[in-house]
Amino acid sequence: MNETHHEEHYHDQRVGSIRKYLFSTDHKVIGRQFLLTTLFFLIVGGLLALIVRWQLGFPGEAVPLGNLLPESMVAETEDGGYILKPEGYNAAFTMHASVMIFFVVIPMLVGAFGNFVVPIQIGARDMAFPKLNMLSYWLFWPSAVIALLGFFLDPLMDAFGAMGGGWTAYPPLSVVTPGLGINCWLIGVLLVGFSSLAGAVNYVTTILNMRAPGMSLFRMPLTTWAVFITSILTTLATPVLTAAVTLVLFDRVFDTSFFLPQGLVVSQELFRDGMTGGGQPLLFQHLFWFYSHPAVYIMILPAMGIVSDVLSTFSRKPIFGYRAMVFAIAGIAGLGFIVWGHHMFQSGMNPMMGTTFMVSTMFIAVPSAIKTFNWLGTMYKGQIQYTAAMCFAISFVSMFVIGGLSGIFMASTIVDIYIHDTYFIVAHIHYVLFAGSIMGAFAGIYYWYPKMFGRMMNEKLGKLHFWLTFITLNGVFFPMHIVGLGGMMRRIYDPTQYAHLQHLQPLNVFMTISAVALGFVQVVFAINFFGSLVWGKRASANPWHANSLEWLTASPPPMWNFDETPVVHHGPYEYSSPLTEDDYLPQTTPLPPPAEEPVPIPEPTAT
Amino acid sequence: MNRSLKRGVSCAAALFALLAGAALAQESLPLPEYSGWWLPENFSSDGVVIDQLFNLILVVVVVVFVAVQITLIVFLVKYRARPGGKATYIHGNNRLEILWTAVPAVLLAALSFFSQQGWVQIKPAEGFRNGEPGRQADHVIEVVAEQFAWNVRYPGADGVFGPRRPDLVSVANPIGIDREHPNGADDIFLTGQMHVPMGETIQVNLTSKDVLHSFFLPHSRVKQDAVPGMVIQMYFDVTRAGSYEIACAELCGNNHYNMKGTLTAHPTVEAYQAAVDRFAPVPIAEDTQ
Repeated sequence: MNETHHEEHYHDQRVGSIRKYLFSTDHKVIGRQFLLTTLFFLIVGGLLALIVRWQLGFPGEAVPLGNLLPESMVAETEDGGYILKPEGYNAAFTMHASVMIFFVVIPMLVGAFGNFVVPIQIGARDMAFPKLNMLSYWLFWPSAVIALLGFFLDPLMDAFGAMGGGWTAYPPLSVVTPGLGINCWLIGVLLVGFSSLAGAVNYVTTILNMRAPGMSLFRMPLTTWAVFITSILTTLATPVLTAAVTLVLFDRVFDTSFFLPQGLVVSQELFRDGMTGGGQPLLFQHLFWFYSHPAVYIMILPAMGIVSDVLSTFSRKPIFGYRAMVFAIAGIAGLGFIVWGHHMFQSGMNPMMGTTFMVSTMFIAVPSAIKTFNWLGTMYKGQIQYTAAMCFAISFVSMFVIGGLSGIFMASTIVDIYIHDTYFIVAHIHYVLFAGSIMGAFAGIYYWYPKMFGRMMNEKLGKLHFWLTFITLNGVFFPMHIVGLGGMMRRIYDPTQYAHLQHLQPLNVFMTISAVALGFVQVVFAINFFGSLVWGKRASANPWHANSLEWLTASPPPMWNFDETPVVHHGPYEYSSPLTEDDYLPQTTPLPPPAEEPVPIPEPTAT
Repeated sequence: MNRSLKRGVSCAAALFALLAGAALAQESLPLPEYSGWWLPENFSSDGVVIDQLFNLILVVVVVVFVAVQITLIVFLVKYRARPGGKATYIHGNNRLEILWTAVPAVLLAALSFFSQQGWVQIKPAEGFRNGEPGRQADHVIEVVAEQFAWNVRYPGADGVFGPRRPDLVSVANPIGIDREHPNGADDIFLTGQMHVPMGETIQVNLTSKDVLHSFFLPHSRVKQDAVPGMVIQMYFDVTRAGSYEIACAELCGNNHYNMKGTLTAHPTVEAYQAAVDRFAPVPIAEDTQ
């Protein structure tokens, strides 16, 4: 019944190369577009991080290449150098976080891998709403440009630089601080929410309606499961952020008072002549974290799915406890909606609510533990092949344990009193989001690159990239635990101002050097990624001998993915089955009957 | 008395207090030694409870971490691919799944329980704001945060705080104390420094004039956000005489990094009282009536 519909599209796609490569509705093209775009923003976010690290390691010293930074961030010194101003520092860490969260991790994991992999893994010809899919990508660019516009507006007008109020944008600071840069940031975040939503409803619809015959929900690979559940999270949580950000924008532009209490005095003047009141700053924090805590899981669950697929493939073993893994993803997602208050233990929220959120937060560690043990179980008695993708996946398991365990400290209401808003928290989020999500994304890139671009990446360079990244990332992020315990606050321009932080300065210097190294070693990845497009060996359809449907079609897959609709006979993890000669069994090949007593093969069902 | 005169009077009082404060700042006790890559030394009763739980969690976490990493490394070596080898076909084990669901759950429930015992003691839900009675406190001090300073107020001889009014705020009266009010006339106001007696429980009525701030005393394991429009009651003590830093832990603007204060813990209540009384406003108010 869909045939005619698809045929029409097929002809549409032949219109010209602009429609084919730029404004394409093909999920594979959009997936690659998202991947390249988010890799570009990874560079932007990384450079912003290096500016932050430079200031923390060498406070008050001229920034290398500081003359290239926007005027609003730097001040010229007498000897011609450019030092970072406090407002420049605030803008750098705010934009580092915003870029990495909204324009790198979420769109890379969901937009790039979700788009490219999910429809093929379920045996669909494209996404359910191809034009909505294209809109999702093309909303991404205006939102990113507008969010970052503040950096570039100052030569034209007094925009006061880019947003410097933290990616959390807590009012009243985000309302009482003047500057067009903040409005730009708010509008950018608003728009990128629409981009996420357009993607999310598309994945949910596609996965529920367009699976190939025989592809029951419990025969889906875990990457698809993770994107499915993540999309449900996005659909439910993102509108709340949109509302919160809109209300802040109203408070700024239309002088409303959603988040402003009565009698606000800024710089010894009554703010707006006293015409504020009735608002509550804590309300914003509740709305913000109601989105932004599930967003943490939006940023890690797809990486967990990718890592599960990679671990199973290269251990040549079925995933350990497949159903438990699915339920753990669902458990994390479900609990993820009732833990947001752990960001607010010390905010002035009623301490009784702290108890509730502590208990729910503690228990979200349980499904995370289940996943970790199942990954170990997957490797147990396997035949582990050390490909670059596998190295990144293994390091994900190892490093996620650090990020998960450090979370227990801050889940405890009383330990959090001390470590809240210190670098201990910064260490935690970076172990989850860099050593977790980004390393998971690297695993995904090395794993699916042959499928995406039809060529193999260089394995030796891949492993070199892995080891250099693994070592330097620990050099950057592990000492953050130590300076955090020493009491170093987040978001401070100059830690040497404080007596209790001065003796920790050598660690700050060490982290800065490691961060620069971490940035530089990504050149190895860039060479491999772009070099392999030209010099890489041509990839076969199934270079890793994997089971899921994307490996049954050509590399790269043809228009509409499959020459004929695949029929699925079993789950995606039938590796090393004693019934087969090979150590893998594609999902379209029926399970052979046991040798002794032949039983009839059950007919594939669509449930 | 007209309005501008009132302002002038309160300005004079506050300026005097500020000048006296500058003179006194020289007398502050030395800061503690900071060294080592660990938590700064704790000088508070609540901090003992916090550090105990921190250490307990640390032990649990290190055991789990080491066990997982060793298992991982053993698997990586033992089960590396060998030519002609075939992996063992295992789909899972329900008994193991139940085990590694139940054990973390019990462990985390226990940690929640220990944490809760400290939480009800340190930040009780009763009396955490709006003047409800909370913990027993020996001294009540008001802290009003602003960009980028810690304003501190003591109730003065009458032991009662006068009202604060946003419309009275000026450079000389940053928190808008109503000096006309009988309770406000003797209120003692300081900026950037706070005095407490050693070993006594202090109640701080914490609020902010403008944006969010966070009152952070690393050595006493104290942290509480200051929220405009809300007065939050927090409690702490300092168990060793000396000078300590007050830091701001919540991003509050461009000079957030420099929003420092000094907390002096005096060895005796008398020394504390004397230190605070030096900032008492001169009774100009009575002369002008």
